[in-house]
Amino acid sequence: MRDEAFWTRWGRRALLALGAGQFLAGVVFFFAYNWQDLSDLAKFAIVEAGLVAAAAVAIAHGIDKAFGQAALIGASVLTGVLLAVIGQVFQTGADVFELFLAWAALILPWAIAGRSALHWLLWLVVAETALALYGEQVLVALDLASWEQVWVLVGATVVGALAVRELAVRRGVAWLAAHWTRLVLAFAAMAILFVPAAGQVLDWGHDEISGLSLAAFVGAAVAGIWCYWRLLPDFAALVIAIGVADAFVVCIGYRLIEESIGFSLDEAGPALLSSGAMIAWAVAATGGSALAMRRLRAALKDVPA
Amino acid sequence: MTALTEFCARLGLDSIAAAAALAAGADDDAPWYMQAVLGIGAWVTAIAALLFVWAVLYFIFDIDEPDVIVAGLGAVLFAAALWLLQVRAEGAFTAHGAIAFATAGTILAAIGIGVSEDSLWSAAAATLPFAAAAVWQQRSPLLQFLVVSVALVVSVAAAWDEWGRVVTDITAIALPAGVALLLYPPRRDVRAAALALLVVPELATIVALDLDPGMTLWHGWPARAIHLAVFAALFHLNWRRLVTTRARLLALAGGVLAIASAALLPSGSAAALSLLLLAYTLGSRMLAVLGALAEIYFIWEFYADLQSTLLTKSIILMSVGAALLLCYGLFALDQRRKVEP
Repeated sequence: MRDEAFWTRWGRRALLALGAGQFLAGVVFFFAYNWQDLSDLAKFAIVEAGLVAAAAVAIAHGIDKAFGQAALIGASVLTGVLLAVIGQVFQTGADVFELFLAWAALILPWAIAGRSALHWLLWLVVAETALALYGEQVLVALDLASWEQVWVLVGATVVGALAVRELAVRRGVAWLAAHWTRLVLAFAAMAILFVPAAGQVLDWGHDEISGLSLAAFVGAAVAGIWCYWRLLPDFAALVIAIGVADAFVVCIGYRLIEESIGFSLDEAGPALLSSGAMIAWAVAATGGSALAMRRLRAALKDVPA
Repeated sequence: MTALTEFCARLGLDSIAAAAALAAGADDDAPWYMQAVLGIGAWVTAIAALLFVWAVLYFIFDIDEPDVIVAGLGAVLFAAALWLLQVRAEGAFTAHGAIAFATAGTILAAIGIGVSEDSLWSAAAATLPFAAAAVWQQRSPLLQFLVVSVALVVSVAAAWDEWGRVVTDITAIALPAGVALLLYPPRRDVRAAALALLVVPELATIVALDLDPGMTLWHGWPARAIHLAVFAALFHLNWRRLVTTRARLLALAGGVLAIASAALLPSGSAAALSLLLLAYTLGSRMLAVLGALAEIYFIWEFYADLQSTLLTKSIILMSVGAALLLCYGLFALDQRRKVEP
């Protein structure tokens, strides 16, 4: 049955999100064009006027209302545009991670004041980008850390954000309680931690096997399944954890078959055996996941999403 | 005697058939995200199955080029998978295996006919009976979605091979069919096939753009007209159904969105907006998520569109965005008037 009130509210929010999103994307495109006929002063004047206007609209309309929150998010995006224009005009030579770091630092007070899950998501994306770029441009470049460690670090901070979200909701922070905030963070954390762990299992970098990413992924998957099964029952979040774990088990199967039989397609024996074993492994992995999801779904059917 | 047997005996029903019907497709009504996980798993198994069949044909039967025999083998595999699904739909492992083998069978048939005829159109035609059978069987929506998706992917590949740039407009051909099937469902459940019609061409456009970054995102006027017609149909549906001023204002906003997007934005983006309006019309969260993701992706891709300058694109986006914000403002104003008479 279609929930009329929900979808009317959704339609209104979708309209606001589409309008604000496309308008802000247009502003970003405009400054990326780097119009030569526009003087540097005019560029700064336009961005800063837009920034002040967005902040003023947010305050005038009320930052606890949807339009006010959208305006404040707009101000946060324009802050990033302003930093990009500063880089364009003065050719500062700063690393890109510094731009993102400054952006995250400057918009943090607005994210705190805004009390909007979407605003915090924007802040998190900017902050995580800064961290990942710092890992690439400093830690990996100076041999202070490996790519694997950087991935795990980024994934761990997203797990941390998810834990903070859960604690905050438990303490009554209602504006963070929307279900999608949990699902987005859970999916992002699992996906980011999956990449280095799968890389290790499939031997992408031909490095020595390191336990770090494997331990981080398995730990996150086990903790996630336990948490959303027993502690905070949530079937959708469980499906995310089980789905990514299923993909990981398939990777393990591939590596085991590769090591024991080999995926050589030049000889009948290995080709038949390896592909047959892979079928059996894939059926077992996904069939097992299907069975687990069915049972968990039945067990959690009375739990509201 | 179990409760079911007792119940069937009282009503004169076949208890075995009733048990099978109750157990049929234990994942049928599963949420879409669970179906997505199982669907990805089925693709992985299907790829392994294709590799195995190739090894059997090459090493045991000495067939090094796919031909009609391979297509026949695909048909046998598909039929066996359907049979397995009919008799053991309740088993998690058998259901997964059956769905994966049916998908692999369809792909084998397409390869067998396509290679022997040296034609992608023949390959596409070969998948049609399989798609029809997948729609006819009502045990597994996931199987319906995957097999129809294979047929669509091969058809898109054939169209791309034939006309090149037309590929970005394929969403305009598939979208009306998918929308019509969801809005006016026939007696047989075809929702999974309709979803494939909405999603696969969008994904094909994304893949095409990744493989051929120079290809334009702008589409021809026929495609724009079709998108506009879909928007108009959805707009009309909401207009008729909703009687309050508030709801009609929202529908009006959708109308403005339709005109602006169909006239100015890229094809994929306009199709994504159709998905969002359809999600609102049907009350489907899955379509809302897919539409939102597609919209974000196509605006991102719009940046790299070489057809026009960033300045032109920025003016288009700001204009559309401003029009939508104006609609939102009108809506909010109406709501405030109602609260404070």
